[in-house]
Amino acid sequence: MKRLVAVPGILILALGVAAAGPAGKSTSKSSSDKWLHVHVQDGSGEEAERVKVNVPLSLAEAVIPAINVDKFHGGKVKIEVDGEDHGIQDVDFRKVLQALRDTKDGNFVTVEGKDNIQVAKQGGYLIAKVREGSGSGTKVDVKVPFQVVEALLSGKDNELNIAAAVRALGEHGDGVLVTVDDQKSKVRIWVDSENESE
Amino acid sequence: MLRIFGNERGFSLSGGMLAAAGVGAILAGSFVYSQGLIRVSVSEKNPGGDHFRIAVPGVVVPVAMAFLPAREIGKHMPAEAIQHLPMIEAALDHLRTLPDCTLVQVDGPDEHVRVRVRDGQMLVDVNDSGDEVHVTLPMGSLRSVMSKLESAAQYAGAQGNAGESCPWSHDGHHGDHPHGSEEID
Repeated sequence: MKRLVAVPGILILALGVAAAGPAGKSTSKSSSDKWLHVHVQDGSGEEAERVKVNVPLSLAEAVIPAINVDKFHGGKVKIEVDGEDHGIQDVDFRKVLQALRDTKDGNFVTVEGKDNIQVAKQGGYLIAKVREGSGSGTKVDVKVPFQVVEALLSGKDNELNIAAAVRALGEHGDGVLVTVDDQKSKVRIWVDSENESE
Repeated sequence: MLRIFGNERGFSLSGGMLAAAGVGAILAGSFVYSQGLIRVSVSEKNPGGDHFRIAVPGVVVPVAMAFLPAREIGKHMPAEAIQHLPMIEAALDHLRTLPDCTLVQVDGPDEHVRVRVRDGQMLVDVNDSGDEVHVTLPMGSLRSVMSKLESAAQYAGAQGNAGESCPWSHDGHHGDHPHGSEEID
């Protein structure tokens, strides 16, 4: 009879311990394995301030549609252009993008002067390079997959579809999206599969 | 039955009760362990500064939340907080599934901040020139707080305190709250 009592007792104990597990241990891993990393360094040497943000794209995908503030609703942000930039509203960015997508790789915009600007299409990426002033000026490099730009412009005329862009980013491969480098600060934004950044 | 137990090779009622109590204690301990510990540690760095440390079993939070009246919380909830609840809820649901990682790291000359996820717990460490703060929050505890806040927000929405837009509607329409003024615990 002791055995009859002991068996259910041991079973209950085993179930209890198995159900408990370590504190709040997650039961499943994230669905998407892509992470968006942002590194910002302001200043140099020991006085520098460094900020590192690592966000899983799946988290961004989940959170962005839930943001409901000001001009940001349902994963889309409304663009309202006024003042000196009002003329930009007349530009049909979707048609420009369509034209860019259908053309071969190459440079589309090159501005040479005090600042040098270059906009190009290369291997399915939209590439923008800005070089401010002489050699020591600000350098900006942007390299965005075309699918992401298309997803970004997939909303209404005056909307940017951020949620779709993040989704497209997650479906794309690893890569550096933005680097900004000047004498005082450095910014780097990239996507990879590592959940920690260097 | 008692007689049968008593007659079988010395097995007694008191022994059975003791075993049941032991099993109960182990199960209760396992449950408390599964909910994790909320730890808060604050140390002021100035001479003679205060040191404050507290560790509370996470299991206390759902119990405590059960006693808090959602209606009263809802009355005092700022509209901005209500507006951001869906976002926090979405983030929290997802954070629970994340592997160990550092979400935010700030290192400056006078301050260091880390927001990390470790074993399903949110760890926040702040170390600046004035204070050193360490907080550990089991996600399960945060979930129960969120559930209560959601209930409270429904009361706030029912009473029209939610500001200009309904937080549960992404397109910001008024009056489409699913619960209206029904009773919510």
